[in-house]
Amino acid sequence: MNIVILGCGKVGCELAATLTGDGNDVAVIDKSREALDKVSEDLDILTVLGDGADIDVLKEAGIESAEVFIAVSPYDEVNLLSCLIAKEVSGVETIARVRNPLYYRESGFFLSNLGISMIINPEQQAASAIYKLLRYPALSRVDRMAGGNVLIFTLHCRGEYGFAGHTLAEVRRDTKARVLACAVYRKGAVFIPDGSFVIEKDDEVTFVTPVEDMEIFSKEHNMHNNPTMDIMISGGGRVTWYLTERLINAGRHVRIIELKEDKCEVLSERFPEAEIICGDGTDRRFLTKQGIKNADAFVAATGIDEENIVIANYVKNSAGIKVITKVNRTDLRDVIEALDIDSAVFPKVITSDVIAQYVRAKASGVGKNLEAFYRYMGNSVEIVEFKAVESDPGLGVTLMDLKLKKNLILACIIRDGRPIIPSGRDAVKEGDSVIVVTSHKGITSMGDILES
Amino acid sequence: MNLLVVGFVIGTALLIEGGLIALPLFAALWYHEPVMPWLITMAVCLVPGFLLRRKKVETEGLLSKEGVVSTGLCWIVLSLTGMLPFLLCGAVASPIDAFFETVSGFTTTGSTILRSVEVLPRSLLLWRSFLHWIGGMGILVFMMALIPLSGGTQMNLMKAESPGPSISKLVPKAQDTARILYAIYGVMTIVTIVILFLLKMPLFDAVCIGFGAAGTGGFSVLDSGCASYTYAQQVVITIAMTVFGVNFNFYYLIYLKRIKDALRMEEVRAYLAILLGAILLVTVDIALVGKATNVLLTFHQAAFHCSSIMTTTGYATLDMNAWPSFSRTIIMLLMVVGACAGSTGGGLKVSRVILLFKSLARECTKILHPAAIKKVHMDGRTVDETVIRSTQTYFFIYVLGMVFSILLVSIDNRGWDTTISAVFATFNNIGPGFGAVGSINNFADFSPFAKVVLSMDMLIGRLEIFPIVLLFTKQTWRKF
Repeated sequence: MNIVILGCGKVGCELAATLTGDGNDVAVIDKSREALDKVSEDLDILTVLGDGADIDVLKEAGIESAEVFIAVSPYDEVNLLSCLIAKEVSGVETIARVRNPLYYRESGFFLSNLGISMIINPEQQAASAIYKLLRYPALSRVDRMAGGNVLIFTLHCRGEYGFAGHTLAEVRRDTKARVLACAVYRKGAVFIPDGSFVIEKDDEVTFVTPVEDMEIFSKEHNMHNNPTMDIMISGGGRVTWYLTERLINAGRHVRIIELKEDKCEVLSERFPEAEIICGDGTDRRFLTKQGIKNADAFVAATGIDEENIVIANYVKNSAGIKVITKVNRTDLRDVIEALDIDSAVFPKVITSDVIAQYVRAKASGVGKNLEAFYRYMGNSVEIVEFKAVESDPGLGVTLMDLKLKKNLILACIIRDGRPIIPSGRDAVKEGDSVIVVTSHKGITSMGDILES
Repeated sequence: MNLLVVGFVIGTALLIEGGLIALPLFAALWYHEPVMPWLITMAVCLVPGFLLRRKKVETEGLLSKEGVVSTGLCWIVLSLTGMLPFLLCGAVASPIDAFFETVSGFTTTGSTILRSVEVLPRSLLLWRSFLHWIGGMGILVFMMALIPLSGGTQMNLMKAESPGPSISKLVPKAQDTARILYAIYGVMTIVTIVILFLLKMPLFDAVCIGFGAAGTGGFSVLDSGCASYTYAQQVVITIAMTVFGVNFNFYYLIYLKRIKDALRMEEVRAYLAILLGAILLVTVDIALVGKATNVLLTFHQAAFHCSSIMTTTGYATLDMNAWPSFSRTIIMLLMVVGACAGSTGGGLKVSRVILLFKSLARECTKILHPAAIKKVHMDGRTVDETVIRSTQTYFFIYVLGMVFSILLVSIDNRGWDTTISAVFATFNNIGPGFGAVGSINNFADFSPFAKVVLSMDMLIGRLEIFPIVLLFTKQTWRKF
């Protein structure tokens, strides 16, 4: 497919890398010559210098023969305008990143009246990811698939759950819950394990389970996995805004620490139920005075990555509560993994994942078979949900007899909305949805998972 | 520096060269000429090629430095292997002469050390001309068209090999770009050959002359150069040379039916304007000063040679030494200007000349209005300051390189005309110069030292100086 991306920032570059990796022809537009030079050093793409709202620039980038246009420049207005122009010029599918909450509230209007195919808001996505983690505080990451019926969750096996030393087959045997371990992260290496894989201390293990079995599994292993009630948030930016909205609707108690007084006042106007405290959320003594030790969870969501990371690490060490930090720079992932921080949320990675999912679904053609797509463990594992359609190979063959690719697990079959964690005797039928965990890239259908 | 990657690239290029030897090999079989030289050369290319590629390279791709080094080394290694047939066929006795001849082929120069080419086996003549064709668009670009390489690798190779002040891809993927370029190149070459053949040129001559014109090389297969071809055939050669001196982006835009954009290309317009101006000036000069009577014939000759020199091909039908001084000076200037960037031609490139003049005009404005902010424009868009700076630097190192070469070649003590024009002709990849290296003479009488200097000049000129020069700096070979 031909894809034009406006904006060569982190999201733009990440998308360009993913989409060229899938074999698409990508053109990137940006106003900065340096940014373009840098990206074309690493990626085989076309770069076009210019303003994305300029028709000639769009044409030069090949918008007339493109299938998808993605606007992820720093300016909402430019993103929306360029989508309108692109749509008008060539009728492409358009995706816009919109961050201003005012515009984002109107996204329904943009979608239906202006013909934009997708509006994505990184802060809102990040808030939603943080919300899920606050819902299941024992987990270091959690995603929902199959319309919310299946949870993909990641545990850091520090020893307290008693997994270490056991094989995955034993873990599965000893629980009443239907769970399947499908990826293990150990000291920088990623494994797609089989039943004989032995878990070690400090492994991070990703499981798949039907949402109702999560509680059983948590209870069996004495996980403190009840929703956190008292939450302290440092920083009063957009992520905090969206997060607070959801937390308050869910009846939690939120205390926000924000340095700027005017921001505090706006927050207080909008969220009368929340406690807004004006002060330095990166000051350790100040946090102690605000009762950080009695909170259930701490979210570091200021605008500065380094401060978020340092303070989250401190809170984890001193208060021992669930800590989550928001990180903008994607290259800090390795640094964070070495620290004592429960979870890190990368708004930019989430954004590019959501867009990449959309584009892949479009590329896979037949009626958008791809339903969900997440990347785990520094992009080395992909978890993909897609629909099996009539023309697919391997339908009706039991998993025992199905020749799957190496480093690939068929983790879940969703039949009539009900998740099945499959055994060797199960088979995929037409109309099922399938969740696959794999280190292969770009899998979108049944045909892709079979050994050729 | 990751030497494994460099080895991998060179190995791949050697395999490709080994494959290309098949063409002269078939010619040798067809004309019942000895095949051993070709089989030996093929083996010498293929065996090290396989060995160098044996180790699977785990890498993120080529860095800029490795791209430059690979390109420079590749051209030298391919010339060293490509010269074997000249020695093995017994056409040339000294390795230095053979190296000169091969480099002259690859770099599309067309300067020869052979006193007579008609005595050579036909397979060797074909190989000589085929070298032009391969070298014209670039061996690494050819490699890119064939084999997928990782993201950064391609651009770093393309940057190092492709001529011009800035390089742009036609389409997002470098491999597709390389394929499009070679498709345009191939089709236009075949058309040239077919037309020449239809005009009753012998097929062998048509193929060799076609290769030479396409690569803007200039090796001929007759001792008389192009003089014994008919006027019609010469006109076709003139047009063909001119066509291959145009930036290939022009043809791609035409293929995309963006005729307006194509016609708007300043470089192409300037190129044609300079060429036409030079032809008219030379015609008038020869008619008035040289007292030529047949104006039409004079125009035809002027057109043939101006086109031949400006596109840096170097075909000739007469001895330009006999022309009046003004015409010869024009020819020398055309040598410097050269063809368009992104064509198969050499020289300074028309786009660089345009940029230099435009930045000169800007300096004048700045003297008159010191506070003026003025951007340089080309094809309706602003030219990046880094491109202007690198163009100016390039011009400096280009002049420096020629001056230094002239100094070295002058040791041979062969007079101004010969020394200077020999360097001009090799550095700009043209072929013949004036004086003792004029269009009906050759480079055989130079000392071995001067031949090595001129060979390096050809490589330096074709790869636009840096890939060769940087091979000899300490900085390049430092580990860190």
